[in-house]
Amino acid sequence: MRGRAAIQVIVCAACLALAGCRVTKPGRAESGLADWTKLHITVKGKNDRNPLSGSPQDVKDGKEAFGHYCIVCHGLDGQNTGVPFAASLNPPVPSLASQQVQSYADGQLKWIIENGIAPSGMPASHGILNDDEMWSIVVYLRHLPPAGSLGEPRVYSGEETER
Amino acid sequence: MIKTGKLFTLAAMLIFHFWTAAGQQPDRTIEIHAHRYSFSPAEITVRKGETVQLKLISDDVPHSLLIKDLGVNQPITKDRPSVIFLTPKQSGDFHGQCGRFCGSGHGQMMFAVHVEG
Repeated sequence: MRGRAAIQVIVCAACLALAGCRVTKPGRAESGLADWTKLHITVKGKNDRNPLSGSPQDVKDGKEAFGHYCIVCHGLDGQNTGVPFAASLNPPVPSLASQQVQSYADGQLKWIIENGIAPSGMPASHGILNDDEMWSIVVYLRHLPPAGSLGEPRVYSGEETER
Repeated sequence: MIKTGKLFTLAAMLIFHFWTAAGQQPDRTIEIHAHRYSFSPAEITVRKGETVQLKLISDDVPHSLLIKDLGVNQPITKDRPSVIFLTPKQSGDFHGQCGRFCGSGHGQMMFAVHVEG
């Protein structure tokens, strides 16, 4: 009983120590450990197959679904182009074309889109997007355009505030 | 000679119009309202081979009714109803959804067509 109380006190102290800290860039060890844990342990769906064939129409649909709101954090190209806070979040918004992201299986990418990842800024899209849209986004992630080729999201271009 | 040609064209157009209109004569009409974030009604039951007219109305923002397995993808605008005809050739349950992103609950906008057979 005393042991459990001690653990609770330690956990509370750790939470207090970590809560409200200023945002800093994570170290290599922290990033490496987190990436490995996500890829091999916490992110499910490894065996889920994408029901879409990956046709040009699927890529187009995925690009459109991605454009609904993913672009606000990931940019139009999925590589953070024009997103001002991408590098200063902790963890930073990853380039979706990076080896780290592309290492995930299709089912894991869909799982991440559907459930989000904590602790990070990645939200869950369950109920916001339907299954077809999430799978089409996975197809788009496998066919991302060259970085910068689509420009930046309009919300960061100043056009929105001019209206 | 030109007049005869024009008359012939007009007659052909009229015949085609009435012929296609007759082919689309519905057995009944079902009115479906789309609004953030549901369809009302959210499911319908039709008989195999029955032609139903779906009158689609948006009560707020643009939506669409997407039923892939029935070949339906009809935009629904607020200003005027969209009308489509449905004549299912197969019995079963067909899953539909909103095919146009409409906000935070878009993914919950489901629809179902039950075809009895």
